[in-house]
Amino acid sequence: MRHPEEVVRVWNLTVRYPGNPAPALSNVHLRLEAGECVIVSGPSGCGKSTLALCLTGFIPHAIDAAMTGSVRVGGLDPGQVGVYDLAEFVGLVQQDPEAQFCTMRVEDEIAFGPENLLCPAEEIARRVDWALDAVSASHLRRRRLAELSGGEKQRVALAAVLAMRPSVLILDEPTAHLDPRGTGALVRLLADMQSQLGLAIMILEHRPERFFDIAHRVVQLSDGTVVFDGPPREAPGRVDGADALTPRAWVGPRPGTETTTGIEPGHGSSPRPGPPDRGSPNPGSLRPLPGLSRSPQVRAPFQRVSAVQGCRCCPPGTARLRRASFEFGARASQILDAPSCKHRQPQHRQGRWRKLVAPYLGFRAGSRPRPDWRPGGPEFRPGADHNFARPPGHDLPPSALSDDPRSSSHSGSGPGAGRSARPFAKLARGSGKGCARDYTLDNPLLRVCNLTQRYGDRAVLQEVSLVVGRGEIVGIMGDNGSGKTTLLLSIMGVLRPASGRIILDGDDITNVPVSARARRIGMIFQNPNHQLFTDHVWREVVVGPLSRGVPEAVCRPAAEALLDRFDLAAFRDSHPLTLSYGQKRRLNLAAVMVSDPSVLLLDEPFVGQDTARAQELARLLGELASAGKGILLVGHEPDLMSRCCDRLLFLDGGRVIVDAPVREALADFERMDLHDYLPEAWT
Amino acid sequence: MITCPKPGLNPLSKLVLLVSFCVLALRAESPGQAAALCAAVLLGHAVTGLPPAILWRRLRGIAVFALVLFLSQLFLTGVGAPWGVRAASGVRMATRFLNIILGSHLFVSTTPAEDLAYALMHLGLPYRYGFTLLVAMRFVPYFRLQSNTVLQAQMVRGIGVDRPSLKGVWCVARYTLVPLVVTALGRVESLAISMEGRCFGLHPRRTFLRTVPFRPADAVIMAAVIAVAAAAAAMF
Repeated sequence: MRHPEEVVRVWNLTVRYPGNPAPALSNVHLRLEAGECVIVSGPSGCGKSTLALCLTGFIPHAIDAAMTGSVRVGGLDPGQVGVYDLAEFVGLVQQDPEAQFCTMRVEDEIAFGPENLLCPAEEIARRVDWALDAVSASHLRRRRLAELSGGEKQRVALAAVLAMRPSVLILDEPTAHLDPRGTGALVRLLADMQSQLGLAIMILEHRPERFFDIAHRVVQLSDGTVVFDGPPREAPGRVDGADALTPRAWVGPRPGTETTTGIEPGHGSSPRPGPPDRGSPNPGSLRPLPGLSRSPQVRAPFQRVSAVQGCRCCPPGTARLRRASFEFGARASQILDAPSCKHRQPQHRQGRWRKLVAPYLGFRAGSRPRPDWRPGGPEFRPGADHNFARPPGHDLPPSALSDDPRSSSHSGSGPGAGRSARPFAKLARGSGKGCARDYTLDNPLLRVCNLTQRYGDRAVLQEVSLVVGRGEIVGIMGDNGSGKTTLLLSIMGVLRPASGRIILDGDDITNVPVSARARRIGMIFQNPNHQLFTDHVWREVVVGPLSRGVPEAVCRPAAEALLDRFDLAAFRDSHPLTLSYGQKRRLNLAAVMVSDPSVLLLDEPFVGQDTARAQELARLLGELASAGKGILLVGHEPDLMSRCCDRLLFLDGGRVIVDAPVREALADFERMDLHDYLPEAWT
Repeated sequence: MITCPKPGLNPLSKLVLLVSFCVLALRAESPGQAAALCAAVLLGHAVTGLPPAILWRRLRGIAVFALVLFLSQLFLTGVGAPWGVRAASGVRMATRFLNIILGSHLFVSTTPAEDLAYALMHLGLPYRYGFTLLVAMRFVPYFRLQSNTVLQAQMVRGIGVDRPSLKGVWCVARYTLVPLVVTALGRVESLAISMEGRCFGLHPRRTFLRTVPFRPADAVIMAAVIAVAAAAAAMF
C-alpha cells in the first residue's frame, strides 16, 4: 500500500553486479515522504551509491546489474521506465560538482536540463531564475563556471538539478569537496530549500553528523543491508564524542609524553579511548617502521656528520642525550651545546664532506648544517656570520629565524628586517587583535621561515612561519584557496617560493631540488590514484628509489617490510588500481616511506573516507609519529583534525592566523567566529 | 533569453573571415602580399588589445619554427637554383605558415568556444556534436590540471622529472598515462550520469536559452570578406 505522500518506496531490493557474488544491496526497505530529509549513511562500499543509481534508473538501464524487489519513485517503476522518464521526478547531485558540468557558464549549465525537455525559452529563463534563487546564487548567473569556488560550484550543481523541478533530490557525498565553511553554508541552504520547496531530500553521506540538524531520519547501511532506520540522535555507530577534544586521541600519545597538551581533566580527556579496532596505540608495542635508509648501504650516502648523532669528543650517549633535550627542554641542550665540544662546529670536515656529496644530494656546498636556532645560545650572536646558506636576495637577519619574541628587538635594518620583526605574527579575523601566543620548539625538525609564495602578482602565501617537531603532528586548516596545498608544495620544493627559507633538521633546503628533498620529505596527495604510476604493487613501492638509481636489491628489504607492515604483502603482484581505496592510501604511504623521510606532508588524506578508514589512517600516522617523524597534515574535518593533531594552524588568505596546541587553537577559532571549524563536541 | 556576453561579430562571421584569410595566405606568392597579410593580422591583434609582449610570448615558438622553415628552404631545397629564388621560396613558406597560425590565433583569442558551438548548433549542427565540442573544451583545462598534479606527484616521489633528461621525459610519459586515464574515466562516468540525468538525448532536437545573434553587420562583413577574398585570390 502506498502512502499518499510517499515519493520513494523501496521494498526488498537486492542488487548484484556481474562477477561479484556478494550483493551490493540486499533486501533493502526504504521509504521517503514529501518534505522529508533522510540521510543514508554507512561506510564506503556499503551500497549508498548503488541505491542512488537504482532510484534514478541508471540501474538497470545504463549500468549492468541484476535487480530484484520493488522500487517506486513518484509512482514510477525505474525498472520499467527509463532514466529520462524519472529525470523529472528525481535529481541526482554527484560528489564532485565540477565533474558533472557540461557547459562553460552558470546560466547555460542550469538551462541545460530544461533545454533537453524542449521547454520554450521563456520557460527556461523562468526556471533558471527560480533555481538560482532557490540556491541563493542569483549573483552567479553571468559567471563562468571555471571562476567559481567549490561552494559556488556546489550551488550551481544543485540549481542545475533543481531546474528539472524534481520531487526528490539525492545528494551523493555533497560535502566531499567543501571546506567547513562551505559545508555549513550547504547545510543551511538545504534547510532553507526544504522549508520553502517541500522537497524530499536524500543525502548519501558517510559522516552523517553534520546533517543531523536538518534530517528527519537516518538510514544506516552495512554490507548492503539496512541496519538502522530511525531518528538521527538514535543512530548507532556514531563516533564517540568523548575523545573529540583530545589531541592525538586517534593516533596515540607523542613519544616521550604521558599526557596530551592543554587538556583539563574532566573535559573529554580522561580516560582516553584508543583506536577501537587495532589495539592500543602505545608506541612501545609497535614494530619499528622499516625504511630504505635503515639499510647500511643506502644510509651511508645520506648520513651527515651531525652533532645530534654524536661526535668523537663527546661522551658516549651524547646523541641520546641530545635527542632527549628535544623532548625535555633546555637542560640537556645546554650541556650538549657547550662550547667545549670542538666538533660542535666541525666546519672543515663537514665542509669537505658536504662539498663531496652536495652535487648528489642537491644541497648547497656552503650550507651550514644544524645551526642553533635558539637566540642567546652559545653560538648565536646577532649580526655574526653563522654561515647559513641563504638564497640570493634572501639575506634575512638572524631574528627572522627565531621564534622568540625577544629577537624582534634586534631585527636590524637590513633587508627583511620588517618581515622578521613578527615572524609568528597572528592576525585575528576582523578584530584586528593578534593572538598573544607563540609556539616554540627547541631544535625543530622542520622550520619554515617567512615563506612567501606568489602566483603571478597574487600572493598565495604571505610570510608563513611554522615549526614541526619530531613525533609531532601539526594540522593545517583553512578555507579552500587559503594556501594550504601551496604551502605543502612549497615545502616539498615543487613550487619555488618568492622568499623565505625552509630548514629541515638544521639544513637549509630552500634551494634543494625536489627530487633530492624527496629522500627526506614525503608527500601524499589528496587523490590516491594520482600517485599510482606502475602496474604492480611491488613496483609502485620501489619506483621512487629505482628512479634515483638505488639498486632494487638495496631497497628490497625495506620495501618488503613496508608491504608486510601495511598489510599489502598479499597484493604484491596485483595492479595498484585493483586495490580498495584504503589499500591504495596505504600503498601511497608505503611508497613514500620506503625512502624513510623524516617529515611527512599529507594533503587532505581524509577526503572521501568514512570514519573507520579515517581512524585506520590516523592510527598509521600515529605509528609514524611514534617513530619520530614530523607530520604536517592538511585537513578540513574538525573532528578528525582535533583527534589526530598536537597542534593546529589556521591559514587565512595565505597568512597563519592561529598556531597553537589543539585546545587553545579551538578556543581561538571560537573567538574568531570560525565556528564551522569547531568539532561538534566543542559546540 | 541570453545572448553572447560581449556584443561583437557572430562566431560564424569570424569563421568565414578566418577561412578567407587562410585561402589568401595560401595563394599569396610574393613577399609583399604575404607581408601585407601579416600586417593585417597583426593589426587585428592590436585592435583586440592583446599586448605585443604577450603575443610574442605565446607565439615565439611558432616564430622559431618559421625561421627553421625559411632556413631549410634556403639551404636544403632547390640546390643549384639561385640564392634569390631559394630565399623567396623560404620567405613564402615561412610567411604562409606564420599568417595561418596568426590568423587562427586571432580567431581563437576572440571567439569563446561555447559561442562557436552554440552558433554552429543554431546553424543546424546536430546538438550531440555541438556538445561534444563543448565537453572537449571543458576537458582541456581538466587534463592540464590533472597532468600537473600527476607530475607533481612524480616529483615528490623523487622520480627525476625536475631535471630535463631523456630518462626524465620517458618517466613522465610512462608514469603519467595511467593516472590520467583512470581519473579521466571516472570523470566521463560522472559526466554521462549528469547529462543523461538531465535528459540529454531525449529528443532529436532541443531548445536553447542562449542565442548567438546574427546581425546585419555580420551579413555585410561576411559578403564583403568573401568578395574581397575571391577577387584577391583571382588576382594573385
